[in-house]
Amino acid sequence: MSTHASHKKRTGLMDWLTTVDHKKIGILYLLSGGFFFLIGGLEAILMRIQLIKPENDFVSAEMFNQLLTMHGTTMIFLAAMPIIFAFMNAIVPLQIGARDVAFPYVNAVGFWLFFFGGVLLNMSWFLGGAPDAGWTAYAPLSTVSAGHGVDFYVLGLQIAGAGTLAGGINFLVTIINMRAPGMTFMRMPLFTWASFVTSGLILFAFPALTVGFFLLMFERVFGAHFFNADMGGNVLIWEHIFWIFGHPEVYILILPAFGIISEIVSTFSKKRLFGYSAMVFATVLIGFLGFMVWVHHMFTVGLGAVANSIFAVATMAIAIPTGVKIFNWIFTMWGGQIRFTAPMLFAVGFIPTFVMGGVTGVMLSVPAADYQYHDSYFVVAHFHYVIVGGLVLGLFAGLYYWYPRMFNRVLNDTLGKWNFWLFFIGFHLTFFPQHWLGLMGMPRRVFTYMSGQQLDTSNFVSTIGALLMGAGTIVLFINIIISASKKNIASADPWDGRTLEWAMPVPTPEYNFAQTPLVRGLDALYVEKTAGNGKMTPAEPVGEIHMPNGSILPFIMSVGMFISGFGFIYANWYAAGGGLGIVLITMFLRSVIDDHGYHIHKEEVEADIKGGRA
Amino acid sequence: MADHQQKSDKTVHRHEALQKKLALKEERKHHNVSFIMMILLTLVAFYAISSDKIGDSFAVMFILVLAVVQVFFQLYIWMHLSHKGHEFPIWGMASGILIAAITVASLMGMIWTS
Repeated sequence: MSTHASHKKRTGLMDWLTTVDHKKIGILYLLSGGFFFLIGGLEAILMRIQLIKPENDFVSAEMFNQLLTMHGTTMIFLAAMPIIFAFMNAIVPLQIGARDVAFPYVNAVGFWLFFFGGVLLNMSWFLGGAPDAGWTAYAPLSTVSAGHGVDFYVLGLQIAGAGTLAGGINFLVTIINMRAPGMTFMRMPLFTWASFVTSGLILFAFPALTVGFFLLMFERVFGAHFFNADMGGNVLIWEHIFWIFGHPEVYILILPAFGIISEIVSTFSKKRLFGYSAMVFATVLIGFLGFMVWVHHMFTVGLGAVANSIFAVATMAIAIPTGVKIFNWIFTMWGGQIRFTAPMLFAVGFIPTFVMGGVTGVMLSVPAADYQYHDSYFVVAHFHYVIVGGLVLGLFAGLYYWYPRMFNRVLNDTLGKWNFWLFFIGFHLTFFPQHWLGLMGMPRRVFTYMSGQQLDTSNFVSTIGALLMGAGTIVLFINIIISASKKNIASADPWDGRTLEWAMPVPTPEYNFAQTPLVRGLDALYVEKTAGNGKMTPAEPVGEIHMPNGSILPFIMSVGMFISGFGFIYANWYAAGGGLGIVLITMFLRSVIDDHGYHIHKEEVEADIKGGRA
Repeated sequence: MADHQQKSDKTVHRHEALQKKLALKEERKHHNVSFIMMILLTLVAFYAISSDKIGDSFAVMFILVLAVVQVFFQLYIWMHLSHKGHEFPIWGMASGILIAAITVASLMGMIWTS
């Protein structure tokens, strides 16, 4: 057994910049995703203040366009996706009994690319104006938009998207190859299943976005004419490419929330998940159908009755597997010993809210009716019901549920309930009236409206709701600060958990499992609890543990991408080439430097086990 | 008895080695055949385009079919997809090809035929 002397422990800032540990990368994703969530939320509140009364002049029309574009873009790409990746990083390796993800270094590359892509996009606020062509950046609006705003959009998201793609591939390989002995596919927890399907969707959907961004970048930076009808281009190609990516993207967002809800409903009902195999099948089916429905965003484009009908039927079909999930959650709770803790409240609030978003989704899937709803506030209400009422409630639930595992503290349950009720009531106050605003004819993406059209009251109520949602989020931050200021460490298994992530002591040892556990059934930890063991049976003797070394290269590589992004935006080829040069140099260094990692000695692991630290 | 056991072990061992050798020989044959076939297919493709006797539209379809055949040679003979333990790559590629095919076909139908 060889040992590698090269390992040196880093501390402080340097530790976080060089880490390849999935638990720390999960925390980095959560912090930066949370930061962008606050920025996106602030943009939303500014928009709602502008719309609180008719003909308001709180922000200008130009500023409103930038706010709505950046709100959508930030929330989807820089808040929701990274927070999903935060939970995937922090939890999936633990749930399958692995010591880390398959490619820890690539994991760090993925995070830093996302981070610098997000920072690049938001730099636009200080450099002459943010993108203003909507989060969908439809051509030709996006190709003729003045200033550098849309350039920041294209380059920033291109860099962040590369990071996401790397992360998706990493989790596919991790889940296929790194499962503990006995952890068959049909014993995997639902969150791991959802992460697996989501990663598959990322792998197939993001390349379409990458191609689309390259076309748009060439059009704007190098004067190409892919979307210019005067020069033989076709504006529809952008819409198709964007939604070929965009529809799978919304399932990339919602499937992990389904997974989180499944874990929480099962744990707090003290029952195994009802219809586990049907849940797995529904998850896979939703993922597959997600690629067959993109045209329902384009019903009014004029693709013809046949195309519209085919995609309408495919869209309606998705309601079936989703309905299976809803019923299975309800049946899981039925007859269970339900504990209404904060995570469970969010999960229970999620179910009816998401159903409402699903019902308006089926309404929108009828092309004839969609001609009425299209580009109205009805659509805004619909997708906020599925994304905020679905995904964000799921993420809050996951945060309260896994906070003890990630940060070794339990969040205060009373404050958590305040958070839930403020956010939940605020959410419905904000978005429920928007259904009517849409049906009464208020178009989306307008910066103001006239009085005397009966739009005043609903808009006023909507703004009050948005402020309540903000208040709910502030309660969460107070809760986090209070928990951080207290000394008491959480117990290892605060919720009477069922799955493997609760089988380790807190804080989680850096090698996760001192001995890889033997999995003997679905809900692996609960199987051992009911068998009277109370802890996992090891599948191997105590031995040396091989660990990867940290590296600063992912950070430097992403800085290189960041510099080169600036270069392309301002057509400064020295900066663009120099940035890419830094990327190539770091790639070269990564290839030639032999880094075998290091070993944690058997004696250290034994000492940890004896001391209750592993 | 013990002696007998040892002897049969030996035969089993020799038998296994023989099987392995045969399998290796078979594989080498596959490699050679597919190598020659791939060169031939490439030559045929070049000829189909350079010759005036074959119409352009037919030639394009024809070399696309040849390309698909080549892809299968590449994946199954040279990248060993037929061997055990490649179920996941096959699933991944098949679902990727399916999704890409549906997407491209419907896109072409909607943008370039009407």
